Amino acid sequence: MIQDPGFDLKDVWLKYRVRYHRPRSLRAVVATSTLGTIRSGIGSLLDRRASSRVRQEAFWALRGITFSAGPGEVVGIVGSNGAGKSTLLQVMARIMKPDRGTAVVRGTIGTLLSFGAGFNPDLTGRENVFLNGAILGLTQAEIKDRLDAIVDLADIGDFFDAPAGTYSSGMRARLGFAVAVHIDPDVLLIDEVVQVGDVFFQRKAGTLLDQFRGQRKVVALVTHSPSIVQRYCTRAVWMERGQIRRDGAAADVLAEYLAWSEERAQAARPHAKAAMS
Amino acid sequence: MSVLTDLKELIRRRAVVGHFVSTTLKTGHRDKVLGNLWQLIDPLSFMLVYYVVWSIILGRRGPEFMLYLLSGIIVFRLFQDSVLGASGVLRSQVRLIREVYFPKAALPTAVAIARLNDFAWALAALIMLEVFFLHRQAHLTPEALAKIHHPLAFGWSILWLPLVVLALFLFSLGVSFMSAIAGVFFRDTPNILGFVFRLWFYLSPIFYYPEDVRRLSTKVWFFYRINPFSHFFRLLRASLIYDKPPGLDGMLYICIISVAALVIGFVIFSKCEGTAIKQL
Repeated sequence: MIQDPGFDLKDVWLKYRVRYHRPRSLRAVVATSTLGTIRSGIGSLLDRRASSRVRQEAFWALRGITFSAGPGEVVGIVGSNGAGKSTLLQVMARIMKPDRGTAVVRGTIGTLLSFGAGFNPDLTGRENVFLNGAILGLTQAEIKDRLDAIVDLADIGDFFDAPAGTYSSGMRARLGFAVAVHIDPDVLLIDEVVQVGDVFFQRKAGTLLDQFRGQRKVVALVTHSPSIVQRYCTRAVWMERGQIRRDGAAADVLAEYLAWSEERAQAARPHAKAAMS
Repeated sequence: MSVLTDLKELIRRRAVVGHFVSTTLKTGHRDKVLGNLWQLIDPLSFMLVYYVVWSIILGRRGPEFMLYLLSGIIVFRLFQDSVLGASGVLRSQVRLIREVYFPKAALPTAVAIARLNDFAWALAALIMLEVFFLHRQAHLTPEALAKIHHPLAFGWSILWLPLVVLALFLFSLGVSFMSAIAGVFFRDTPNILGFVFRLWFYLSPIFYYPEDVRRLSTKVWFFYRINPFSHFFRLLRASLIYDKPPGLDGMLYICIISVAALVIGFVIFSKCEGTAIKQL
């Protein structure tokens, strides 16, 4: 790759369609018997107003995200639950196309978005490694070359040849991480996974993140752990409600985000007390 | 334009399709006592059920009727199993779809190819059965032979078989693309497909002969003429078990239908895939 790895997001908007199943009235809530279900089923066929009980609405998960990153950057993405962090990673990973705006990613992408959940539970770890490697764009021979390193990093012992359905969540995450790292991507996207493994694994993962930075690759990781941002990230992006609230040096953004969170916690406290009494 | 890009991407990443196919096949019969033997047993047992009903209980057909049944059944099953399998494949792979980027069209394509593999096994079972019946037929007296309605024959017409199977596969693949998308937007898809397939199965000449249909009414005959499966069955049987030259008009008809289904199916898939993924 002649071009430097990195990504450019320009005014990215993305919407989901959310289906709301709202109870229409108290009677509808009570009518949960089989008879009630049948009646409301027929009712929704006959009465168009009744069927509007299930409404579809657009929910904008990303609202005008513009940001780019280049080689050597490790970007930590922080923010409240539901701020759009994971959706943002999925747009970077080309899994979702933006509804408006453009998202350009240069270089091969490695993703670790959901604790190795993409593993097929019926296949063994080994078979899953070959499947995932192929999906990520490696040839059979390339995967074979890296197999030892993957086994070593995942460190799950004999379970490597057992069906992935029998793994603990930590084992799945470790194998997933090992695969994602060893496809040697230019851009690595990580979603709250590094925290899953035990302390020993976290150390290994951390060393790898440092290596990536040294090799002038691009890493974006979503995390709720301030220490990870502090320790590994060169830059941090704080997101709220689908927008970027702050983007800058990791320490500064983190400090602001933590202060804001603390403030919200303080503000919430009287309500909690009122609810208790 | 984006349809072409998607097509190129699918072709570039065909190794992924291969892996999905082998995954489907590997996990299909793993840990079963009879394992891959089921690929032979399944279509044969299906055929036996219909044979018991039609030949033994109703006593209307000779044993050669088994081949007539089996050749229809395996064709219809390739189509039905691809389309039904594809209708749930995006939903069942939602975790993988959310985790890494790959061309989503690879999933329904892999389903159709895996079912084509099953078809090949079923075809092998059919040919074994045919060898047996041909042998038996060769030792019949001329009087007994004259009684057989549709005597079996094997010959050069077999060369048409690949083209018929290719058209059948492309047709199944095209409709599978459509059902994969439909399965995401409408959870009712498998229910509806179940009904449609049952009806279509009985409306297609699997256990009756075309001449039986012709006697009925012009309306039914019209449906028989436009039903692609009438032609798929007729052409497959002509080339495989009766050694008759296939009618060129029928051949042209299924080729056009298949290519049309594939093009329409892929365009729909490519246009809707982005919205579909967000619906999962």
